[in-house]
Amino acid sequence: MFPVVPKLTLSTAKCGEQLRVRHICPDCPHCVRLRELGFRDHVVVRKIADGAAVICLLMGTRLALGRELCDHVEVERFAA
Amino acid sequence: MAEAPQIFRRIAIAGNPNTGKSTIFNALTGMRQKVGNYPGVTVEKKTGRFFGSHGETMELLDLPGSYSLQVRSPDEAVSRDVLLGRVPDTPRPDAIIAVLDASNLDRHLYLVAQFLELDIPVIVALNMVDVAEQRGLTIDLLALKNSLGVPVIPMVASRGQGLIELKQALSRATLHVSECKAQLPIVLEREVSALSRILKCHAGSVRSEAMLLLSIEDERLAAEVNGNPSLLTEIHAARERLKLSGLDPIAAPVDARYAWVSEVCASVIHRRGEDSHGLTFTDHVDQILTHKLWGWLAFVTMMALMFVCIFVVAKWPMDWIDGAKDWLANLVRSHMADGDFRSLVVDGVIGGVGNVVIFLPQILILFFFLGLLEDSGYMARAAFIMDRMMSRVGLHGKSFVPLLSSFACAIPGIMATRTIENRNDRFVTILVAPLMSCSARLPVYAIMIALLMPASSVWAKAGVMLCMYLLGVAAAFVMAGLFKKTILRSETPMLLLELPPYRAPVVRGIVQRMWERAVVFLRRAGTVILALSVILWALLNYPKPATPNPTRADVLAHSAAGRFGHAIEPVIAPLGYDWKIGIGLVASFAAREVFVSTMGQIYNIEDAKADNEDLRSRMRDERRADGTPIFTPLTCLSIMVFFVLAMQCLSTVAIVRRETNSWRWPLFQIAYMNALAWVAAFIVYQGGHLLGFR
Repeated sequence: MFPVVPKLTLSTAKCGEQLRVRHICPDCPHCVRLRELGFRDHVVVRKIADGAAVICLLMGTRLALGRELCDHVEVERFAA
Repeated sequence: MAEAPQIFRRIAIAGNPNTGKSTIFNALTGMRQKVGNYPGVTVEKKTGRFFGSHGETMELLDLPGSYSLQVRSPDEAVSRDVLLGRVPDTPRPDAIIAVLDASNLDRHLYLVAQFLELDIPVIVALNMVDVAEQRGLTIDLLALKNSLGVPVIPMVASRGQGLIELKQALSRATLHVSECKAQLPIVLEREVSALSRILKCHAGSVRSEAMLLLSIEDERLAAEVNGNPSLLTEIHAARERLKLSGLDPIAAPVDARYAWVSEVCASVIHRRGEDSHGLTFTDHVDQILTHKLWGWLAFVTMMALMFVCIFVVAKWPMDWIDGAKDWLANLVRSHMADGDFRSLVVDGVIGGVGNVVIFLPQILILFFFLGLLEDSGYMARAAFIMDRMMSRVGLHGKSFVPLLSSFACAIPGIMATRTIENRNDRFVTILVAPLMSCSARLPVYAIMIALLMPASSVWAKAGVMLCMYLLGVAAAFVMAGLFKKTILRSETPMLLLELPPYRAPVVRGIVQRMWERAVVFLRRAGTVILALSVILWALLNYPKPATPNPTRADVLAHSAAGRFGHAIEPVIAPLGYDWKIGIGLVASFAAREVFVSTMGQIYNIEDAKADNEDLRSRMRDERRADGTPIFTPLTCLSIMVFFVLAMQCLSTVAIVRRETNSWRWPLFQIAYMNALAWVAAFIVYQGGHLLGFR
């Protein structure tokens, strides 16, 4: 049996990390708007603040996202 | 009669929020639409005119910012509807000025990709090229022009750079529709064409309409097709066919446009240096202002500082205005014989209006601070730190921006709710926005605080004022939570908000807004307040008692207002108010500031000897029949609490009617707010008495 590795999401990633978007859950109510704002697969984001909501830097723009929304954005660590 | 000039071209200014659209609009038309450094400053279309390079008349439409034509909120819908020619009284524009932030080109070009699909000539205003330069970005303008197939004008709109070039581009005899577009998957193109053939809408926008219908989310689709079952069936069938061919109809157009944007950006943006993800000044400031503890501390400190300034800095100009008012009143007294007409001029006009105008400096200081918050980019941060608290009552932080705007006036605050996507959340925010203390309440708080604690320090006075503002915020939160759980149920929305970079506030812009506010305030004082003061004067003086040589107290008691005050006394006595306060309270339902002028008139009329005495002193000396003072600390607190919570603004009622498109909501708002105000003031006064306070 392989141990189940929990998915890394924008919500669980550490603050200050550079991340690459793997996938946005299509069930997410803001899926289309997130994509339109630039949250596409493989795009690089940086998580810059963490609290009740998350602030991340995407293509030079700071976006504040609620934690529930961040749970829908699956990411992976990205080494520049 | 002069003939109206013929419109040569109708042009719409559109783009992402916070890119400088209204700045360009103001620069071209000479108008003064509000600008600010946060998304959602413009929430409705504004129209202006300007002359092109050859003197031709152009009509300019300033549209609310939008991230996409696939809209999510009422303000974005305004932009989409105008561009698609859906608005009956607004012809489809002849051209679009697409305003882009040059430092965020790769994200802002997405909307341009959608504009190019509209088959309307586009001119790109590449704004903030100076910021892009500072960030180490060089944009190859020629390559961008060739990639987009449209004119590209580099601009720094805040300094007026690029305006002449923009006018020249707009004045060209013919503007061409670009042939450059994002390449959509062929199966999607096929379905768009098929759907276009059965749609009945503006010929130029039929393709875009079809695209929007195919790529809209299911829950929004039914509302969009407006109950047309055959069209709904066609759209569902087309979507099924797309899914069968392995294409997500919602994601595919977005991905195709971004693929095109990536291609364009790769050829036009050149980055100097490699640290494009390094921490900037904004990030460092955000580490404090959005911190879960320091962020709150910073917010409360800023508010406290604002109220201290309101008391300290405003004192001198208020004394000057007060002195001028007294000088004018004495001048009239010395030149007119005693009688009703002199009383009308001195008590009704000079006293009534002067007692309100005296608070202008405090209101201007409030607007100065709000201007700083709006221009610096702090508004969005306030929304961010409030998100945790807002989510507990079922709203998200975005709702806090309209609430914060309501500190100035509830009307722009209510208009700003158009940025909220969900209808129920928007209505909840509208219902609670007037609970935020607007500038019209400031004179009432100021005079009550002066009575409550005459000898206290400025910090203590500012603290009480801050408490009143925070009481409004707390009441708004509690009522929002209640509404969300009862009459306006919906799921707690998820926060998604752009945080603009911090920018140094433009002092000229803030001073201009203060000036505009002063003009509005003085115009209101010279019209509404003056009219109400004169009416009140008449109601406070007539009918006269039949007894010969009646005292002023007898005149007041016998007057229509006096009788009315006595009639309502049983309702307000439990709150600690006598019939004279009752008159002021009822008068303030026309405009809150009228409370102060009414008090001034009542005590002037009643006490002839005290003509030159300060209103505060007269109120402080006022006694009940048993000799106890009327304006005790509890009464003052009770009055302030009543004013925090009561709905006393006819203009707000009218705007709520317009925004909710129904009389039901404004009537409900009046009922719940005034009931809440009465109950809260009752608890303060009677509860305070029970605890031994006076």
